[in-house]
Amino acid sequence: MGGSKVAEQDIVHAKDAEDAVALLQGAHAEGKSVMPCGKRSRQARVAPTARADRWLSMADCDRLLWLDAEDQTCEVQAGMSMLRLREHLQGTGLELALMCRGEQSGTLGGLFLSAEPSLLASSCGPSRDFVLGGGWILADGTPIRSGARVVKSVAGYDVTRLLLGSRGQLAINTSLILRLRPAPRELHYYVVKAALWPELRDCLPPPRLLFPADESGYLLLQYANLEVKHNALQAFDFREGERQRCAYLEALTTQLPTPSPWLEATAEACAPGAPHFGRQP
Amino acid sequence: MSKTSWKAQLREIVGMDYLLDSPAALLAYESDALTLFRCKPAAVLLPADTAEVAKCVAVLHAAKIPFAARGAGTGLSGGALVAEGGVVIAMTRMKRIHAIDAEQRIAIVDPGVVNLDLSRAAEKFGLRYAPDPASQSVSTLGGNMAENAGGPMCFLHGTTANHVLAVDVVLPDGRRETWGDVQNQAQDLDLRGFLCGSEGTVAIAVRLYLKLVPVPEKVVTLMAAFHSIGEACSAVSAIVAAGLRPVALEVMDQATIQAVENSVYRTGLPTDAGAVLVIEVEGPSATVEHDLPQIEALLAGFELLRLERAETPEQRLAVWKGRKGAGGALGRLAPDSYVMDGVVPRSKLTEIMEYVAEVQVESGLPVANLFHAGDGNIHPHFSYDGRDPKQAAAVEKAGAKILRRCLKLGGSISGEHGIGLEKQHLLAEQFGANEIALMERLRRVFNPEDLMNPGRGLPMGKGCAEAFHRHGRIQSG
Ligand SMILES: Cc1cc2nc3c(=O)[nH]c(=O)nc-3n(C[C@H](O)[C@H](O)[C@H](O)COP(=O)(O)OP(=O)(O)OC[C@H]3O[C@@H](n4cnc5c(N)ncnc54)[C@H](O)[C@@H]3O)c2cc1C
Repeated sequence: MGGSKVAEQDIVHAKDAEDAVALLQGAHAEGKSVMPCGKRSRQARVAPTARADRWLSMADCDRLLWLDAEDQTCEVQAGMSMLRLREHLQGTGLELALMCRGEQSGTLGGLFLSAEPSLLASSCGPSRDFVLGGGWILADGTPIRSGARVVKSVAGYDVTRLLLGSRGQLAINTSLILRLRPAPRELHYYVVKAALWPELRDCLPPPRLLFPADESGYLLLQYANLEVKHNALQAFDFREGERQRCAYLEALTTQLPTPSPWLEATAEACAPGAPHFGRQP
Repeated sequence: MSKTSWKAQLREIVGMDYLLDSPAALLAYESDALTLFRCKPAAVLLPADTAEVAKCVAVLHAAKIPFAARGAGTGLSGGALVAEGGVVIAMTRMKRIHAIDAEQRIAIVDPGVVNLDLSRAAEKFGLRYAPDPASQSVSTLGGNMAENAGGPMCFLHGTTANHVLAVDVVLPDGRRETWGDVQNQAQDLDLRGFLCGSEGTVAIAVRLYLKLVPVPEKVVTLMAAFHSIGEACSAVSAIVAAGLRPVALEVMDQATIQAVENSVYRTGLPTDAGAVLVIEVEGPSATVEHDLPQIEALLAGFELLRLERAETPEQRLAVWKGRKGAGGALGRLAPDSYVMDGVVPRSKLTEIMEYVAEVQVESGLPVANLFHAGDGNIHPHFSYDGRDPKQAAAVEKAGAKILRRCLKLGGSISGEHGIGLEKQHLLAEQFGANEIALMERLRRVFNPEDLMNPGRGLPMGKGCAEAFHRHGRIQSG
């Protein structure tokens, strides 16, 4: 487990959203500060100074609540991992188009709440664009729902956007309504000299993914459902491409998000007068 | 502060010509495109730049005068009008495109830039701005951001919020900040995302940093004519479910087709069809050539009246002329229009269309349907005469019934037009009391005195319906 040293007995695991409410209220009654978390695999990176008397983990809540394959949406509990979601989506031809560091080890709740950048952002959009809504618990124990289960909704404020990326400082995430998309039928890798890329970029179809191949001065390009032919491009072994992609993903360093000057006021608005919750001193 | 002194201060800031307060000049600002609600403001300001907006807002804040930003006034939920005694800040003079960074694919624009003007300016760099509301030749990028506008292309590209990287804002007390980051780097609170769709109640956008996308290598538009709207909807559900990703999936029913063909937007649509489905596919040639036959094969499973392929820009333009002009064509049918906006899961399109037909019979009013089918975003269009209180009441009743059905089917009461004044009473049916109370507290974080666009977007309980004259004097609720 990553992150600062936390004794196992200080982590309580919620069985479901109702249990999380009860645990939160119990902690408050005892005057304990609470920090929501998943598996704490990202904590050292995204919230290194976080301290709390009690860590409320949603990692055991990892059920798929519903999947509407026809509408390409689903709702998962916050403790669902990317790996398990992929298993659930097998055979549907759908994917959650994200590629984030730590996706194998952490929970989706943790991934979205820490605003983990996705390597697919330039081709498929940033990770936050895949969350249509969800279930939350505010610091005073009030459960709320945000967003909608349809792909488009502008009813009321977009509370989801405000809570995503808030690193557990505003609310506990209990579930996520996700927008899925058709998974690529096939992937192809190519290599190209990095120096040539600025010129080539405009005459090639946009790749799904692009990253430096080792230190060799070459770029690796991944294309979905498309075989690209160009003199400057060289087809690359698929398995080696995948290996390099995984290595690149795990070596990524994430910049710590800039703290917002609006955090205190927003936290107070989420749960007026509630005990200290999720905030980093 | 006396009334004259705040007006004098504002005049000093914007200049004599850019504070309007004559009854004739104010008339144009008493409603937006939802003519159901009207209210004449005390004055309209036309600031030239960010500094003027900030100074005007500071004066209004000090004088405790309510105010609302306004773009082109094409909003369809009564968002850009202000209650009696208030001031409208029209952004229409702020229409500079400051920069287009072709390398980074970013545009930096004033809020009053018209949507289509940005795509036209970006074209020479091989780029365009993807969100394309049907009002794009008039509506402003600031208004699009405030409503989180969608459009036909948003099926593939996402709505406005997906294309706004950062925004320079003026807060309700006149302070200035930047929300978001052009590099799309995370800040721990996504205020940019919260602002999009907040209907001008959180901050005024004074500069936008927008994402541009490359003009696709190949574009093909299909026009499929069906016997019934139900079949067209089934085709949409089938295309989505098959995992195909056209850029647009737009449906027009027979009433819409006939209105288009009887108007200046005439484009040769089949008037005997129950509905047409416009499908656009774009991307690298290889992708288009792969997807197109699959879509055509899927369509072959339906009993089509006609299937046409538009490949040249002229052919495609002709198809889109009908779709984009449909709103205007329908507007000619009666003195007033009520364009509804609701969303259902894409798999429930046929069901909701059957219900719309039922409600139409019940209301006794003509309804036409043209909508962003790929997103499940319906827009039943009622034609009525607002001078007849019975018709006006029937329209409101019918609208509420359809939206309630959208909710029942797992949808939303608005996909792109927002809540404005129109749907406040229904918001409480989509969300519970806890959610509404949270939204209200969040509004107060940014807009504590509720001076910026008061009574909008959330159920405000008192005052909102009474503060605006309802055309046709309909009872609220
Ligand atoms: C024929 C027709 C077709 C339409 N088609 C579509 C469509 O396909 N998709 C769609 O989404 N909408 C559509 N609309 C609705 C409307 O065009 C959009 O909501 C549009 O985004 C409004 O832009 P505007 O500049 O007219 O804003 P306005 O109507 O002037 O204002 C809308 C809201 O934005 C706020 N606002 C305006 N400028 C700013 C700013 N700078 N900062 C903060 N707040 C601001 C206002 O206070 C108001 O609440 C259509 C309307 C018509 C009449």
